[in-house]
Amino acid sequence: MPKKFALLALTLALAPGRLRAATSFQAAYVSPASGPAAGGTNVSLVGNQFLAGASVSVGGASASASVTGSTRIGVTMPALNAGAVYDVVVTNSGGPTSTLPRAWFADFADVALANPFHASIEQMVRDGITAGCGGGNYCPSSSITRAQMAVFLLRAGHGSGYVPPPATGTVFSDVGASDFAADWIEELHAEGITGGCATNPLRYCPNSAITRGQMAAFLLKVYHGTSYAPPPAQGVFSDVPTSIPLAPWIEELARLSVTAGCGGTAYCPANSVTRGQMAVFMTKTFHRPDAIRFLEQATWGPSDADVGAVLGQGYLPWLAAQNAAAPSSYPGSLFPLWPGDTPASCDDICYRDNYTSYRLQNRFFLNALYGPDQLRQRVAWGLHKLVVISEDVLPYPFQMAPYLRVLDLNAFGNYRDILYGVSLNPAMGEYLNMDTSTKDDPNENYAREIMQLFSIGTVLLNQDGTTQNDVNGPKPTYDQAVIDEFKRVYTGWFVDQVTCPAPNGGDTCDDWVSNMSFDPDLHDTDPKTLFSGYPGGPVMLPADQTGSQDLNQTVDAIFNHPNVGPYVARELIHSLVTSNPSPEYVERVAGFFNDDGTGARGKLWPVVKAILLDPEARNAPTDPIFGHLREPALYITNVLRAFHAMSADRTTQSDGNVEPFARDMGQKIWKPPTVFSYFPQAYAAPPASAGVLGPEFGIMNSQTSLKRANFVNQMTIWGGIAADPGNDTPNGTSLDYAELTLLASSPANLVDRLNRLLLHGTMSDELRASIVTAVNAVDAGDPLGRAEQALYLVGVASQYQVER
Amino acid sequence: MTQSRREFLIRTTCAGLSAAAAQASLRKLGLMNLYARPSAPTDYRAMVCIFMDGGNDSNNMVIPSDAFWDNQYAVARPANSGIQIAKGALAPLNAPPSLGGRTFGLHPSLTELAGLFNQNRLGIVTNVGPLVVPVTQSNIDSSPTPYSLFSHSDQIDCWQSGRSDQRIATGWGGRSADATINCNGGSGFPTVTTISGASTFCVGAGQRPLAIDTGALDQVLVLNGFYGSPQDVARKTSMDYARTIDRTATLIAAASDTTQQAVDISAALSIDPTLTTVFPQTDLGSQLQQVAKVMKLNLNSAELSLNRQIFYVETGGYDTHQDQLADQSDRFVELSQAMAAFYAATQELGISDRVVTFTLSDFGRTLAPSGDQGSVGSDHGWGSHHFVMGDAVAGGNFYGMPNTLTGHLFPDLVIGGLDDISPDDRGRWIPTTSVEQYAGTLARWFGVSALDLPVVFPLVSNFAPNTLSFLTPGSSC
Repeated sequence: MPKKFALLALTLALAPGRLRAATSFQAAYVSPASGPAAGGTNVSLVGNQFLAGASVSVGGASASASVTGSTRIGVTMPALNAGAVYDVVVTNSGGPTSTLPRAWFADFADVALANPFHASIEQMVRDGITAGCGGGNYCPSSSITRAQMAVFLLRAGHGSGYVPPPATGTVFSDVGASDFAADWIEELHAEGITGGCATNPLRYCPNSAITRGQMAAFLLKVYHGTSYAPPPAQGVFSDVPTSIPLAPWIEELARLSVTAGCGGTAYCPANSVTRGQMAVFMTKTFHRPDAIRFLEQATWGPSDADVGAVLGQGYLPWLAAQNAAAPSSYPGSLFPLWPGDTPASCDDICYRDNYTSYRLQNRFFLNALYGPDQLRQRVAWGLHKLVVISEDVLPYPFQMAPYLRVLDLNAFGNYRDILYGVSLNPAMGEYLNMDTSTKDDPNENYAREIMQLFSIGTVLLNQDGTTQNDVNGPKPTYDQAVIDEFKRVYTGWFVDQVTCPAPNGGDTCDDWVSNMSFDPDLHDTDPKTLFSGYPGGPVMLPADQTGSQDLNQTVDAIFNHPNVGPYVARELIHSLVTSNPSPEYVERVAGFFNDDGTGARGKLWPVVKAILLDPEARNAPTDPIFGHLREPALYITNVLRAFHAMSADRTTQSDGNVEPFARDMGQKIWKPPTVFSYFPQAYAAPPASAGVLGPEFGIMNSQTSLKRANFVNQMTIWGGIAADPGNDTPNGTSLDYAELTLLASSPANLVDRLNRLLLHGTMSDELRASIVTAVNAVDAGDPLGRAEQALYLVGVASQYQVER
Repeated sequence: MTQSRREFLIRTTCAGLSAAAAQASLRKLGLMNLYARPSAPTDYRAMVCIFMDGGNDSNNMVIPSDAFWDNQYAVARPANSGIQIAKGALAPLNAPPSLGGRTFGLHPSLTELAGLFNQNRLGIVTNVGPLVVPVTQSNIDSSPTPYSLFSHSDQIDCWQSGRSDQRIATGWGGRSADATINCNGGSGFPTVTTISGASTFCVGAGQRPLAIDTGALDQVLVLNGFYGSPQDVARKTSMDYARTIDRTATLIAAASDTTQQAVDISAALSIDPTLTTVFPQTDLGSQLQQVAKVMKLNLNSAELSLNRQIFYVETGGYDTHQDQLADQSDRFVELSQAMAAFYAATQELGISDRVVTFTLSDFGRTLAPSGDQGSVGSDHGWGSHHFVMGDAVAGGNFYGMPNTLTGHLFPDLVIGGLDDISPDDRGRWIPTTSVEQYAGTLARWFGVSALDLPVVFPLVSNFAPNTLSFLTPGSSC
């Protein structure tokens, strides 16, 4: 082997310095992306390197634009013709232009934003499936004819530019070659999607309204392919007997959450379908992969119900509902204060529940599996990995729960409140020693880590997250002298004592709930100069301030450091979307941190939205380094949520005790080994010589890679986690195999179903064929065995373990 | 820890190709010839790295026991400081010849290690740390220094990567393995085994480390749920095949390769060797016991039979900002007992002259105490002392480079003295011996050739001599 050559090459990796030149001028997206045709909607046009004086036109019409930063232009939409999509063009100062094709949709005159079909109808127009019914209207309440539907379906199946071959007029007796949509109708027949409405002679009934029953079959034949045979009907709807031929299709549509029926337990199969309803049905059917992929990033794992919700509402309304959802969190009612010394009355169960992390870990998984506030939890988890404390030092749930509440309650709030909140949180005080730091013996631990890990890092960043360099390499954010100044701020605070609440009334407890208390005698009251000689400074703190004054001004100084935006943006992108974001993506998100559009800094909700709505997150990835390995917590919850994890006997919720599997995979929930979290921020995916970031690979190794497979084995081949009443898994945990078992008579259908739900349709033909072969090796008389075989193989595939 | 992700993308086609080619070649050999080599290892050598996580306060590990205790140590850490180790409590060491009559003791919890020192089986390297070039207090303001001094993660990276002027993704353990791959005769079994995760130290360009925990060796790499039925076989066939396809996406390929290696190796880990040496049932004791078991497996198994092995274990709890006296004592008891048991195990295996065990840590700590009375500790420092253990080591002595301002091999325990970063600092020692010189000595003994030394340690030419004398260079195959 060319040994010398290889060795020389390997030391070249990771030289400091920018990979790319500065981010380049480009428009990325507008949000919101639709509004009244009359104009007047204020939208954010997001991109990179906008210059003051940039101008914007929409559909050729000039729009009122004000540049609010290098990544954002506030645009007031002009009046446009209703019911159409328009290009948005930005002209930067000096002439260069950037075009966002079909970025703005001017609402149909008869479908306002409040219309429940609005999101789906907009999607139909964007997909090029319909341009409305004329005159700027969509006619959402009109019935859709079978002829119109032929056009819709084929455009959905083949793309908006599809042109069917010319009709012959000889297929259906009631469809002449020059009749409306004749080409489409005959092609629909040629593809085997329709067999007509009657035979002898063969007829299509082009002007009949389509029924809800017929539509189910049409949609799914296009979606699944015409060779698809749905599993036998089970009798889901009271008005759809299993004996009618359309029943299997109708039930399949319901399983996919495309429809919940027409009210009560009915489906109304004979009712006609309106154009508005048709838009919803089609969007929910054909855009499933988009929604699944979005939910992989925004939740603990997609399920069909979530997919239906996202597609029915659209991203922005779904996000708004997430913002409004009450935090599941770790409430004091469940995790009350307890004395540090175990009361004599405390038996084994009491000890487990109050002095070990058992309930806190279970609560994590229960929240993730069943809590409505999915996005808040994901963001709070990302914040926990960034602003770390650990059970390693804080072993009791009553110590850690108040810290977790700071993260949960502020996950969509302001990052400044998180920095301030954790600074005075007693568990953090204990973890990083601020609780014993005094003017005579100041401890620099917290002073260092709040900057290095929680906010700015050790090197100066450009706004796109790349490192600022000079001739000596990366430019540091501070030096020891700066730390020595900061550490004097954090003096005089201590964990106070309180009288314990019930059930330990009368005992004295360390107060892990309230903020730390302040002893002015222990506080360094000399003047302090923050960030002296470094960006962000100097910030002067005058002499004789209170601890609160010093702390508030210091948190402000850190919070206002220019690094915080790109630092927090980058880390949250890592946690939600990809280990390797482009600098442009980081810059766009950091722009929202720096200014939410109203001049406010540090608001996390706009940051979270910017992460999830960015085209780099939404578009199908083309960069081979895009994506991230699912960390153990995420891997477990994705498997469990996809198949409605419940108790072993399926009668109640799981007990949530799945943390031992995460631990086996190298991630002890709430017990990161150090303040550097569960895995290093900057860990390179193997081979390291390739220099591709993959922090989660820091805990994926020989042993844990097999433990990951063994978790999937437990939930599949081994049938789940058994219930053990009275012990640590009282309910057990199991997956719902009902649907997969139904599909098992056709291994191809089974694998296709898993492909869509778990891999948003990206499974390669080779992988599909291999898994189908393996499923065929299980006896057809063992449908559960087939389902478990298939789910095991998709679940352990690297293609699933890495989320792209 | 804060560098841009995109900086990681700096690479050359050469680096990418050569690493991939090396892996492909290993894979091929591994599959064709599952680690089978005809004979027991000849010229076996192993390095065992013990990382003391958090930054060990070596000022309370190696302590003067002569007048310097009274005149320096006890002045900086007086009896009422809450952090002093009493002179009379020290575990005595024979006077190190290199210190010209001065005497020292170890922390009283390190009695086993003091015994090994006095049997000349343990050496001490003084005031080692990351450096870019040699510096002293008089020129430090005008000299390049390691990036992000005093930061845990960055200084761990400096120590483990073996380069302190810039961040690199590979470590000197992994690169030493790459440089000695020829010694292992084409075995696909990894040179590096870690019992504590794939830290930077373990990562090479061509090989990825075997990472296992302290479970029974025949149980650590087991795929559950396969019993040999036709459907099990079909499932295994499909999952094995899946790892070979869809490799365009970088992270998917990385996950597949990580799993593939585990599956390949699992067949070689088919027995759990037993040792007669009794290890303390502590975290570190269990890790070092596992190291000894892997060594025994290697020595006795034709399937492994490596001539070169590198091991990595980690022991936490050294970030003693407070409560240092109690906490560090507990750590040291664990360290000393575990290292002594491990040394005994290498004797049991007949390789105590072929195994060198050594310590690393984030950094030393301030000589000046921190925190208030009753919960005293010390803050992040720079240079620190380290142990090297094994019969190959010229033990019973102190090694390192003297401070060129004082001529002293052991730092003056004076806050603001000539070993301190500045006259007004808190007793953070400027290292006089670089990581390169310390680690380079180990690597040369292990078999890294003089020619390869600058490749494993890119900055080694900044330091003269390149290596120290506690070990002599070994065969580079």
